[in-house]
Order: sequence, then structure tokens, then C-alpha cells
Amino acid sequence: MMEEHIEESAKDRVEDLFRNNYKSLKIYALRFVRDLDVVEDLVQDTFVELWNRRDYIELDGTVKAYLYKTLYNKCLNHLNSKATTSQSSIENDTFLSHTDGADSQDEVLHVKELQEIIRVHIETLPPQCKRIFLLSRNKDLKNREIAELLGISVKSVEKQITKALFELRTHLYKSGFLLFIIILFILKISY
Amino acid sequence: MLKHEELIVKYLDKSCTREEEEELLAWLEVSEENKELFSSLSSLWLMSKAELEDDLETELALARFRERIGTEKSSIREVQKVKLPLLYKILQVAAIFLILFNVVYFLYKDDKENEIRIINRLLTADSKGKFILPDSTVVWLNAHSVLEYPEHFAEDKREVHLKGEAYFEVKKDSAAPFWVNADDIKVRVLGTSFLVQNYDKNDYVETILTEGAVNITSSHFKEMAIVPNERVLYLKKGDSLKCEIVNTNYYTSWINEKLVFDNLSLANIIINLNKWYGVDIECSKDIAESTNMSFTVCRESLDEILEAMEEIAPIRYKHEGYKVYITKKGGK
Repeated sequence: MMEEHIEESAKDRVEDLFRNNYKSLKIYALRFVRDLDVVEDLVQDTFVELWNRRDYIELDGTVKAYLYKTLYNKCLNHLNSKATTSQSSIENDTFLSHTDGADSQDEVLHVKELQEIIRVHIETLPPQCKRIFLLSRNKDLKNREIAELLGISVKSVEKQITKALFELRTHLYKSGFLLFIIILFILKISY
Repeated sequence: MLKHEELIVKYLDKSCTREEEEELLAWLEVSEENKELFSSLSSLWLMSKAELEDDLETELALARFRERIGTEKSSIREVQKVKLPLLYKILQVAAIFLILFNVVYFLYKDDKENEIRIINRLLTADSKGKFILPDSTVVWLNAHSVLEYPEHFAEDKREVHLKGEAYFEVKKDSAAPFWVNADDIKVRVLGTSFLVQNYDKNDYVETILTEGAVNITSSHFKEMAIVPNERVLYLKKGDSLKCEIVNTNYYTSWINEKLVFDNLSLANIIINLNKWYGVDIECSKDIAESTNMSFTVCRESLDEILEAMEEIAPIRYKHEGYKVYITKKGGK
């Protein structure tokens, strides 16, 4: 009975951690792995690992650092295993030597700040630009679909999205965040 | 310069032609600066998607996580298990009580593939609920409504049958249009938010589009596109259509946990309450348009609310079944 109770509270605690950190962890992992599907899997794996070690890890304030560090290692492993398989088209291969991912406390803060900047930036966009950007990024519509929906040309959808992304980049540059979103990469071309 | 930025966006959208892709590659080779620009824009493209997606995505991921750690059973029970936590949330916050939540399995043969499928049936009695369909479409089902859908949607078509009222946030999938069958009419969707009401007690089927684009069609008229903020009534008698532009917030407020009226006209309050309680409130135009009120509805019964309204404004009400009549105090 008692054990069941403890188990239940551990589950609640882990679920809270999941809800509160899912987005941030995904954004953090996107620094290293440029694939949303893969990143989602890696975040899932991270939480499964936490769950399997729930008896040995204190589910307190330090657990966040554990999550970031675990996820970072999973990103590394993924990149290493991927390096051996051949790729096509434009490909980002990451060198992680410039960051060892150890200072998780800083990483947590940076991600939070970055999230805040994205949200605030969206609100400052002109209405049409904001609308198009949200249809693209929130509703996951293709540029062509947005054009059909709004009855405008694909070209102008591309223009508005470029504007939104580029201004966001400029904004981050001014806030000293650019390094955070750029990863070093070599270009691989293979057809 | 700007041309290449747009090319990057096109590349990220996966809509580049082979020539454009080659042009982009050549341009990237030119300088480190170009590579940096590409790297940062593609980061922001992905990060902004991760940041701006709905909280629902987190809930879905959490459901997957629960299944992985084995606290949830998978497959057939998924419908109940995955959806219930969300329901519980609604239950706690809004104290909405879902009287009936049935998963009925029956077998039927698909004409096309001749394969046997399982149909899930969502039923609500006196209250409403929020559900997630197998394709991640979110449905708010109003009171006294039934929604039928297959255990697994076909690859090229997602089809549901509705009796009653539902608000849909359809998961986008251009390859598999989403169809709502509401007896006399069909609504076809790619990915969008809209409401369909098809109660037997009403002599019309109602479709309201809040976002995106949907088409409605029936055996009696050609497919018609509905624009956002449009309310289309299909009149069962006479097979005709009636369209008007409305404030969709009033019609979809019932999906929220409470109704908040801030100095709103009685006419608009009535639209909200009709949906919230599933009733038909009648009130003469001059009273409805000249009376403004402010109040909040959480879990009160309709009569409690009507009584409170009598206290705030000089009106009287009469409640008979689905019908409510509001008249001027002292008048007839």
C-alpha cells in the first residue's frame, strides 16, 4: 500500500517534469540535432531513463540538470551513430567540441530566454506576417497551403516567413544569442 | 542577398526544385557567413515550431511516454486510457461531469477494402468532453452528442459521423482529408478549426468555421467553400443553405471551462448560453439588443443563471424543456 503510494507520487512528479520541460528540452536538443522527429524521440528516451532510475535520483531541483545532461549525451550518441551512415543532400554535421554541455544550469537559462524572445518577437510582427508565421509554425502548414488559404501568392508567403525568421535572427544577434543557435557544421554534398 | 534567404526558407519548407537546391548549395560554399546564416535560420525554423506548437502536443507526447513506461495499456484501450487524463483535467477544473463515456465496438465491412474495422463511439449525456482522435485531431463534444470514428483512419481519408454538436481542431494531413458526416451534409477539411451542429431536435445543420478552410456538400447541392467566421445553416426542410458572418467566439465558447460576459448584449449572451446549455432561448429583439450584462458562468444550472439574470436586468423568464422565453418584467 505504502509502496504504491510512493510510486504514484513519483509518477506525478515525473509527469510534472515532462509537462514543464518538454518544449525547452526539445529546443535545447535542436541545437545539436536538426530533426524534430529525432529530437522528440531523444526527449522521450531521456524521460524513460529518468523513470528507470527514479529510485536512485532525487526528483528535486537538481533533476533538471540531470535531464539536460542526459539529453545532451543522447544527442551526441545520435550524431556519432549517424556519422557512420551515408547522407544525401544538404546535411549539417555537428562538431560538439565547442561546448561540453556540462554547464546545464546555464543551458536551462539560455533556453528559457530564447523561448521568451521567440514569443515576444511573434507579437511584434505586423499582423499579416504574424498570421502567416503562425500558420507555418503553429499549424504546420506548407507555404503553398498557406498561400491557398489566404488567397495570396506562394512568393509572398515565402517573403513574409523570411522576414519573420530574419528579424528574429537579427533580434537574437543583438541579444548576444546568435552563437546559441548556430552550430558549427560541415557541408556534405552527395547525390 | 535577400533572394538567398528566401531560397533558404523554400528549402526549409521542402519545396525547392533541384535547380534551386543546387543554387543554394553553391551559394553556401561561397563563404562561412552564408553557412552561418543558413545554420541560424534553419535552427530558428525548427525552434520556433517547437516553441509555438500547442500544449496539446506535450499532452500527446506525455501519453506516449506513459505508454512506454507501462502505466498505460495500449491498442484498443488506448481510446479510453490516453484520453481520460485530459478528461480528468476538465473534470477537476470545470467540475463538468461526464455521465456516459462508452467505447462500443462493432464490426462492419468496408466496401473498398473488405476489411473488418473497429468503430469507436464517443457519447456524452448531460455534459461535454474533450477527446483526441487517432490522428491527433482534437474534438470537443457538446452535451447529448455522439461521434463515431474508426479505430484506425484510412490512409487517404479520415471520416467521422456526428450526431449533436462538436468543435474540431483537425490535425493537418493534406494526403488524407477529414470528413464529417452530419446526416444530410458532409464537411470536408484539410486542417482547420470548425464547429458542426447536427441535433435531431433542430431543423437545421450548422457549420461554423473559425480558422482555415472547409467545404460542405450534400446530395442536394454542389460543394461550397466556407470562409473563416462564416456560419452556414443547412435547412433540412427545403434543402437550402443560409450563410452569415458571425463572431465565432460566441458560438464556440462552450468548449471553455467558463463563460465570461463583460458588458455583452443579451442577444450575444443568448448565443453563448444556447450552446452552453443546449437550449433555444427566445427573446424579442428590442430587449435582446438594448440589455447589456456582465456575469460569469461556471457550473451553475440554467435556472440558476436565468434567476440571476432576472436580478440584474428587468426581465422574466419561462423555461419549458429545450425552450426558454425571456420577456420584459411587468410586460406580457
